[in-house]
Amino acid sequence: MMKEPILTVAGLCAGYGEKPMVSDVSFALGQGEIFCIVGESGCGKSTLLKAILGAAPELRVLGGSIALRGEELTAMPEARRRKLCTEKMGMVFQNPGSAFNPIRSYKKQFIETLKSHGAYRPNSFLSQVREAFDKLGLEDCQRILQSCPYEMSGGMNQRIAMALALLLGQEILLADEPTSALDATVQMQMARELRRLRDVSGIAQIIVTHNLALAEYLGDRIAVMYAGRVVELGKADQVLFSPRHPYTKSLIEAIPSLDGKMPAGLPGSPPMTGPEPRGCEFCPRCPRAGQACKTAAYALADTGGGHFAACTGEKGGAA
Amino acid sequence: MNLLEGRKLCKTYSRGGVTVKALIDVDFTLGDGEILGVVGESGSGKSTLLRQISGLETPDSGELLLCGTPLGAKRSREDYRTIQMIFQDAVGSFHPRRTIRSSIRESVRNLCGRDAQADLEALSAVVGLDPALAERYPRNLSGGQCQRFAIARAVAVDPKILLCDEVTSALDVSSQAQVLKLLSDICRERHMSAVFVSHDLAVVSCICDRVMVMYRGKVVEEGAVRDVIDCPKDEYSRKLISSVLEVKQEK
Repeated sequence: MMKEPILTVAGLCAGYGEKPMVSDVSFALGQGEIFCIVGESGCGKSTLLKAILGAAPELRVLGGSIALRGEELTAMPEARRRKLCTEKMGMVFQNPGSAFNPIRSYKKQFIETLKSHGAYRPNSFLSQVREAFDKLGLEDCQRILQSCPYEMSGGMNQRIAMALALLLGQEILLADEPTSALDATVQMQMARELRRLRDVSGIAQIIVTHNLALAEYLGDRIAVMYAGRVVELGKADQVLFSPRHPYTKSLIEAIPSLDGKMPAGLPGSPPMTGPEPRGCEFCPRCPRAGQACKTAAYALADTGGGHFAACTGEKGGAA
Repeated sequence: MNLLEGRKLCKTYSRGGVTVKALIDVDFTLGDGEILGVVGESGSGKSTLLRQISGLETPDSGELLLCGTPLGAKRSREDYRTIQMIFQDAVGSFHPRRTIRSSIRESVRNLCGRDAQADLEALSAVVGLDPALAERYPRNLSGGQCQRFAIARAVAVDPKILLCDEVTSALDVSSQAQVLKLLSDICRERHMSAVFVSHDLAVVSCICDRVMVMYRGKVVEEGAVRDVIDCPKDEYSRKLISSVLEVKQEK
């Protein structure tokens, strides 16, 4: 059962010029839901995230809508949109160092950020921070606040960025490859904490990753993107254990595991030029592609139980 | 005889009054045609070890033996040709203002003599890429394509040992599978040995024969890949294994 959506994206097209890099993307993010977006480099996952956050001025929304708690963001004046987005949405970047100024103490940066949100209360600041840190299992609040980001490890910086989102009372956390710059052991810890963040505070999350195992561990639902479009969408176990799109199957087969078997590679590279108006983009790499795939229009079809796939392959696929 | 052997290797870095022991009495061996995995977290000394082997740095003490002969502080061109390194940042490992073809050609000339020619067509075929892509600049290729050309550049000088430093960690899962398969095939077909550094034990288990687990500059466990994964003896190895995220379905 879908919880009440706090963010609704419908038919979104966005790009850096006239040509969209992301096209026809629709999904709704429920309260407290973790929604994972997976795909190869260049598939438009990060562009989608930027379009939602409105973080890149050069990225233009070319069509469709983004509604945050029912308020349409794309038609809103820029200043109002920025205010609303920063109030409601936090961001964790791939590069752990990029969220903070490396040579300014966390305390100064926390106060600065809280002030800019009008949420700084000098008397309760420390107790607020301690509460947020406690929720994430961060100990020694005073020492962390006095430190500078350059003194901390990558994993620690990511956790402190999460604590800041919690402190600001944001409702949605957007994370762009939050674990891929971290070591295996720290990756696991980070994944646990993202889940814990949702469990203790109900923050909904959109996690962009190329790591399907992370998506399985965290995600309530998963969207698989290819060439700027969502090709499969469903609950995590539906997408990973009964994939309907050949691309999803190939991605799953490419994951290395401890059993020592060489993962099956996916031949070729994804197109980097964004979606074309007609024909399945995955066609040239698809083992099941038929003649009809070259001309078929894109459509995300319901395969039952909230599981959608965009494959009309003649020789199988979703059919 | 081992192809490559390290005995009691030590390396210390000092910066701003802080001293870090990056390698502490590291012993290792690499057999002919063997792929040796080195795993551990950041700061465990894996990359430092590769830099000593490659000749980019010289160890403070200990010795490195190539086919039983000590590798001195000053290496010959032949030594450099024999041991080739592939880096994590594939795009950054090429000259940004030269085409891939020009970079590979320069590497071949430097190590094999001025008249040596790089057969780009054959090399591209080995790494499964269109030779026309070699006319591009590194920034105009994807990370996976660049990494495959980096492998082509290493293979072009016909080395005996490949040193792979986190070569797949900047790649997505599909490019990673392609690069792993490619490296494994090249080593088997050309009878090359490799030292494969990674923080991902699942990746190491796919490609390596033996694995060495490093922690804070020391080797804490070493053995056949299956033995270490199935029956880890060291506490840190167990922690590494338990932190591998896997999709828990039967593929």
